[in-house]
Amino acid sequence: MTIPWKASVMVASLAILSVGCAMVAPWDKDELGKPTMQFGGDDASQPFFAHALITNEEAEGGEGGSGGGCGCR
Amino acid sequence: MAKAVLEAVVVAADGGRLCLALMGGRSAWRRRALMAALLLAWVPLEADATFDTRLNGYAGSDGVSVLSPQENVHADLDDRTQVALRYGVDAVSAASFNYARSKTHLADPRRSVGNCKSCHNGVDAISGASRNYRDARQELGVSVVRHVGETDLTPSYIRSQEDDYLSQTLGLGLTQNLFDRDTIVGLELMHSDNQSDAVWNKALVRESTTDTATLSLTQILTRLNEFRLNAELSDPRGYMANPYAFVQIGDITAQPVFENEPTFRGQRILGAAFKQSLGRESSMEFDYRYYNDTWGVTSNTLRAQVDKQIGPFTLEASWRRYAQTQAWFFQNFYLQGQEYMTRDLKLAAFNDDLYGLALRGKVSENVDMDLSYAHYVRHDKLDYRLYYANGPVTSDMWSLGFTYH
Repeated sequence: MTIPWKASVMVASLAILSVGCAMVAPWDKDELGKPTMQFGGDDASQPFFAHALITNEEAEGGEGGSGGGCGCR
Repeated sequence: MAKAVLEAVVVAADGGRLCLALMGGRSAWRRRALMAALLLAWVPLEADATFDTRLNGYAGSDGVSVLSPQENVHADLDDRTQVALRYGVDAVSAASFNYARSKTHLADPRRSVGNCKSCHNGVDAISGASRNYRDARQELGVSVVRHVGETDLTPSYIRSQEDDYLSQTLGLGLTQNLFDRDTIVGLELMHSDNQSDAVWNKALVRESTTDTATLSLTQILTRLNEFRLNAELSDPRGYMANPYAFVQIGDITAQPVFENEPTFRGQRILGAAFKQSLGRESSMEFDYRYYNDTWGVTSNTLRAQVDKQIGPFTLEASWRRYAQTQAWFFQNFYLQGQEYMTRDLKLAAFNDDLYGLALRGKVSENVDMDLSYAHYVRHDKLDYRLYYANGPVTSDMWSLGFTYH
């Protein structure tokens, strides 16, 4: 199995280094809390579209995660 | 709230009747209506609940069409506990594949002088999987979110059932807010049991299981942007072939044999997403996903999305490009038999594009609406003389939903 380990390690390292570095005050998160800042559009139609895509494609998953936006939910 | 629920029931019933018209069978409709009624009855009216009802549709150039009404209920049981219920039906119509009309079958010289039993010994008839083909998949999902300080715990259960397929998935999600909620770390574990029994031999039940672990990190970078990373491991094992799929060996007129696929598949997925506010109520998002498995399939997915708020509505436009390599045992046509064989188009090398548009927003004080449309185009260089379809599939999919608060 070929996995781009170097790229993965680089991305993971950058991610870990960025954690906790940028503290954004709650009162500065109004822009992040807007509907347009939700990952994937916060769209209830996504499960059906995703299900339709996996009938045509082999790869699935790797697109979930929690939070986004203002981090308040 | 009671009025909103009543309105939702009316819309749900309309969706169900439409589905019934497609599928036939009043008893099936009764089962669905009963299920929806139970879902609604379960939610305490005094709870802070939302009800989402929607109708999804899919139409492909290969003749497959799907109509899928779906109901979702979200309720806050108390200030620390939320519950979500989902019930949906995929009403599939038209043919996915009709063997009796397949190009290879029509090319068989023996067919013109005999009947089904001339070639297919020991069977009464080969009906083709798709003569007047109709099928329905029902899905029920339940999840509970329990907030404990800055930690969320989410157990979930999903049951998906067809005439010849049953899948049950248990999940447990754990998310932790860190650094004043600038960082969210998530871990999700899922276990899925699947059973399939082809319609011509219901006694032969084939099983497969899948365990999946997903680690995610969401990080706010500045007051205008954020990113998300995912890493996922999955290990499907057991029967993974399609019991209705055949391959040709040696001669286009040779009697087809069932496809066969390995019984283990290690899957590794990495995903990254970046969201940037553009000001003036607009934003852009970039997503990337890398996928690799032990069957030799490697894929890359890129997605770009732009959102713009216009009055009470948000307009979203997106483009997605997917490209994959083929499984090591895939062939259009086999010159000689081998242990693993498939001509499943999903396991071929191809790429595709998905173009999407969505509009969502408030239509009244208590009601949100969303309308989504996507156009799918596949590109490949396969020889379609051996397939039921005449070329790479294109499809249209759409979703119309109303959410009542």
